[in-house]
Amino acid sequence: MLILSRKIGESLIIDGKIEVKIVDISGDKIKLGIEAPKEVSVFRNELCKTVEENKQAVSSVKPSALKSFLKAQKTE
Amino acid sequence: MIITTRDFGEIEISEKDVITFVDKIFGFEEYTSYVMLFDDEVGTSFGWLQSVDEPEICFLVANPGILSCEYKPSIPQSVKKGLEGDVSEIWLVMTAGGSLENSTVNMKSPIVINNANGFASQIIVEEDYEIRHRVFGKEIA
Repeated sequence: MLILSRKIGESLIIDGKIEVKIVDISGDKIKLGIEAPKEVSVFRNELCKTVEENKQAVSSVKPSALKSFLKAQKTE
Repeated sequence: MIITTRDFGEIEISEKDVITFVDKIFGFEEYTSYVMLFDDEVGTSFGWLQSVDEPEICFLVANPGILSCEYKPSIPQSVKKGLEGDVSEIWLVMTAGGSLENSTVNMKSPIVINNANGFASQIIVEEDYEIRHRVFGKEIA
């Protein structure tokens, strides 16, 4: 991971076309401004992780399987 | 109306059973209408959030009440506005992974529902909750 320090008002240019600017710093929150071409998507990390997690979550768990599992848990 | 479900076969539902996602389930933006299905023997700790339009889109969800830890996510005003009211139910998307023993729930991005109108959202909460929180006991090697 590339680590750089920036002050408020300073920015980074990624791939010559994406600009990330430090807009404000308040307590432990940093406000970032992002200028990027329309085709570049920008998401918070947690959102990407949630999409990944949701996609894994759609595998079938039949009621009977969950039922047997919970019963087995209770008897342990 | 009759819908085809992934794990419950064909079932009859009415309009009032339908849950409408005003803000999409992340990664599943085209599917906005769901119903909550329960199995009598499993009870209400776990439910199946079944897409009305696509049988294969079905999420196993868990009631946060099954967790041994406290769960108090803050719900932003903007979410309440979108749901046109208060959140009456919170469900956590459960991922069974390789086996049920290693199931995890997503505490960071819960599903919130306003039962008064059936509006729902999947939100990402401010708090540092885990996206993969183990539901059952210790990790099995």
